Formats: sequence, C-alpha cells, structure tokens
Amino acid sequence: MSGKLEMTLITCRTVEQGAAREGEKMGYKYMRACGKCYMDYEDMKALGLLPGDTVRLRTRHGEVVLSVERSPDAPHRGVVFVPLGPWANQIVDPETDSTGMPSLKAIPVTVEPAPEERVPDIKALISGLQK
Amino acid sequence: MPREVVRDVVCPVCGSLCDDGIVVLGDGGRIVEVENFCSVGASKFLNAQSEHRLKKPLMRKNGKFEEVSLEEAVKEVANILANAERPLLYGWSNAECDAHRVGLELAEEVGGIIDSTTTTCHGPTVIAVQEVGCSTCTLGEVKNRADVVVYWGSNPIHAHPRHMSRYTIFPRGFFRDKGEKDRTLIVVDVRKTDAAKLADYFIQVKPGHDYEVLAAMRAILKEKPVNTGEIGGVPVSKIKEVVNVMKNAGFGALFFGMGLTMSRGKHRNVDNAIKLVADLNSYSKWIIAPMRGHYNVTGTGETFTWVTGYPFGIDFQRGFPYYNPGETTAIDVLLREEVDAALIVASDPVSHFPAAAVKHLARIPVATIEPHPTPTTEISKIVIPPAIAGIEAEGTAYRMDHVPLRLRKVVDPPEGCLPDKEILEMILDEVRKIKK
Repeated sequence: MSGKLEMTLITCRTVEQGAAREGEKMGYKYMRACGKCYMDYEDMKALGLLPGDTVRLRTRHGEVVLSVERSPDAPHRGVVFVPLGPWANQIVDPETDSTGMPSLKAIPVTVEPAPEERVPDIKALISGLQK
Repeated sequence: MPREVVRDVVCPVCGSLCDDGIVVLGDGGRIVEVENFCSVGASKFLNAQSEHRLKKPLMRKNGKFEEVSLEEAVKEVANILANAERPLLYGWSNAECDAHRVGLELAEEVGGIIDSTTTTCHGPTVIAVQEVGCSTCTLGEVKNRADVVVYWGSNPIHAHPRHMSRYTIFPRGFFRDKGEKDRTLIVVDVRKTDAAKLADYFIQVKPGHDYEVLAAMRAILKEKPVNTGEIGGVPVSKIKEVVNVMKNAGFGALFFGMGLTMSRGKHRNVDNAIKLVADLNSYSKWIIAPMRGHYNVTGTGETFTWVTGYPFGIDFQRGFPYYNPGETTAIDVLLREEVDAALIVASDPVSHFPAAAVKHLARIPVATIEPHPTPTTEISKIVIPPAIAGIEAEGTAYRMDHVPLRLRKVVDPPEGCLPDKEILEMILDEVRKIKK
C-alpha cells in the first residue's frame, strides 16, 4: 500500500475529452475530462487509491496532479492513460526524433498518491506556462 | 415560428466528415437540436452559439483584453507578421481549403513557416507514405467490399465515433449485405479499448512493440520460421491465427492511428504496416488508411501539396518552399526558440503541444483566429473570431480518404464575424502594403 509505482504513460483520446474540447475549453467540463488518468484497478490497490483520489505523475519532463479513475479497459498493469490535453502536456516527451512528432506514448512515469493536492485548473496551468 | 430543418449537414469535427447531419433551427436562426451527430459533433454545433462564443476582435492592452475593430486587429496582426524575422503560421485543420490557399500566400509573403496539425498527428504517416507509397481506397469501397477490418493503435469508438457505423463494420455494403455478420473485426492495441471489446480478434501488444509484431506478421505471412514463443507481448500462436484470417480475406482494410505514429519508431511503424499490406496483396486484396483526426487536416495536405509540392512543415524563409521534418516542423522550431511571432488559425496549440514548446509560444507575440476562448487565446496578443466553417460559412473539406465534401452554411455568424478566408485576405493586403 502507498509508496510509488514506476509505470508507463500513454496519452489517449476519450469521447468525453472530444465533446468537452468542442465546448467550453476554459470551463469545468474540460478539466473534468482531461485532468484525470485511468489506471488498472490492481495498480490502484497497490497504491491504496480509490477512484477520484488525486495522484502526482512525474516524468523527466515535468509533473502534474490528476484525479484517478478506474480503467474500463483493464487489464493493463503498469500502464497509465491520460487524455490528451494541457494536463498531459505538462509531462510528455517533446522530443520529435527529427520527425516533427513529439513522443506522446510509452513515456516512463512515476505515479504516487497526492492526497493533499488538487488538480490544477486550466488558468493555473496556463500561468505556469507563462513563467 | 415553425422550426427549420437543415438536412445533409457535413460535420466539421473529425476526419470521418459525416455528411448526414440534421440541424433543427428555432427562432432567430438559433440551433436548437441536432440529429445523427455523435456527441463530439453535437457538442460543436450546440456550443457554436453559446454565450462564451467570442463575437468581437480582442487586443491585449496593458495586460488585459479590449474589444477593437476588425481593421485595427488586422493592422496589428499584419505588423507583427511583416516585421518578424521567423514567423510561424500554424493550425489550419479546422479551416476550409480556400483559407489554406490564402494562408500559403501569406506565409510566402512574410517568409515564414507554415505547418498544420499533421505535425503532431499523422506527420509520420505522410513521411512513411513518401518513402514506401500506400495501397489505399475510399471509405465507400471499404463499406461495400471489406470482410476483414483491422484497427491498429486506433480507438474509433472514442476518436471517430461513427466510423464503424458508417464505413467499416455495421453498414450493409453492396457485397456485404449482412453488415457486421459479413465482417470480421480485428483490433490491435495496448489495452482492451471499447473498439477491442467488439472485436472478433484482439491482440494486446506491449507499448512500443508494434514494429516487432508487424515484422512477425510479415514473416509468418511468407511462411518464414519464427523461433520464439512470444513477440511484443503477443503469443506467436495468436499472431499466426490472425495472419491466417487476414491472408484469407476477400477484401481487407487496415486502419491505424496514434498507436503507430506516436510510439517509438513513429514513421517506421507506419512504413512496416504499409509493407505488411503490400505483402498481403500477394494473397488477397488489402488496403491501408490512416485515421485522420481533424475534419480538414487531409485538406491541408492536399492544398499545401498542390501549391508548394510539400504536405506540412513548409519554410518560405529562403524565398521558395523548403520541407524538412525535424527542422521546419512547428514543435521543433518552438523547442529551438527560432520563432519570434506566430499566427494560429483554427487550432489550439497551447492545449495540444508539449509544455516545453508552449513555453516559447507564450513568450512571443501571438495572433489567433479562433471563435471560442481557449488556452491559446489566453496567451495571445490579438484574437479575431471568425465565422465557424461548416456551421456559419461554406467551404471545401477533405475527408480522411481524400474525398472532398462541401461544408454547408447552416446559420448566420455573429455580426462582423467573417469567414477565415476573408480575414486572412485582409491580413495579406495589409502585409503587402507594409512591405511595399
């Protein structure tokens, strides 16, 4: 229970992210759709997490706090999915390997519970990028 | 007042470019209801006239946005672009083709880099096709002929919700008149996605190992020995079973997505998938097609290529078009901090680019042509809201299979909001005046 897990991060699409993206991006629904991650329930149990808890994801490129949800596509132990958006982009690998395309899948990530933290809202993320 | 029903509306959201939309209008030309759209398309229509929709051009003065006239906004955008050493003109995929043509002229006039969202989506596919070609066809052919359909690294239920219903699995085709009962679905992914849950065969591949599985399939297809029990996390017996189904297809179609283009190997993964389909054509008839994301990203490839010879990441600084992915692509030039100004059209890179690239974008003057408040408008100096293509303005868009469809004007735009093409023409005129 607790501690941290070394996992693999993959960004993905969800229909909720798509519908929120076409709606109000500066609003709550977009944060609800994109400021989250999906984990295999066995991995959640290993970290003592319940659906809706907050977790910190840290990669070589940055860190972000997200809320965790039980993945409907399990089993995929060791892999955590984050919908593409400003939250995921805090921690993805910008390296394009000279193709123009950044590496948005299969990124090594450390996941740990962050019970005292909240998922940053879109304005907080943007001001972080403007520093 | 009786409601007006507009039929055969083309949906301006994803590369499926569904053309059977129905929009019901109420008093004053308000959109009250939509039918046949998936939830993403419905969201775009139902939010087009929301209260948060931008209606007047905005310019940042003393750190805050103020409403300005279109003429003032256009003059300032032209100033920024004309005086920049290396401007970036990015986005384009949510705008129609005539807007792209003006964008290209503008990029040439200012000696800038013009790039589309292809760069973070199917850019690797375009690179692979340039290297090894592509056996492909239109979606109508798939609907009418395909009895084996593969989705590799693509989750259509979430990213192209009506793709399977309109084009590949569920519809009754001319030669597949029993619909899904006449077809076999194979899904290859790193987890059991909603598409995989419907599949007859599901291959769960280890993240980053698609290349080996594709190579193994090619070897097994040609009856070469495979001296191992497992490849890329998949039992070889399972690969053999699926290859057998593919080999014996009447007409097979392989669709692929970001699982191949974004993973390690990128364009090499797509290259190998294209070669697998080429190999399959020795035994059966197969095509391969990318699941393009935006409704007109294929259109950017079409317009950019027929005007400049290149599909994306085009640099006009030398006075002629120059293309070199990695050197002239948007994220790379932002990471290297080469760009000193940007015009963003029909896109939201602050949401969709890695943070390291966005940090530079936030430091330079940015002008955005965008109808809604987005993270990109938040960091912009100037925002010009256009008439939304496909809802408030006509235009041509290309579906993911390169079929052009005419977008409809369903409602009037807010007063003063012009189509992207006209805004860009105004900017181009101003730039030409400055450069004289």
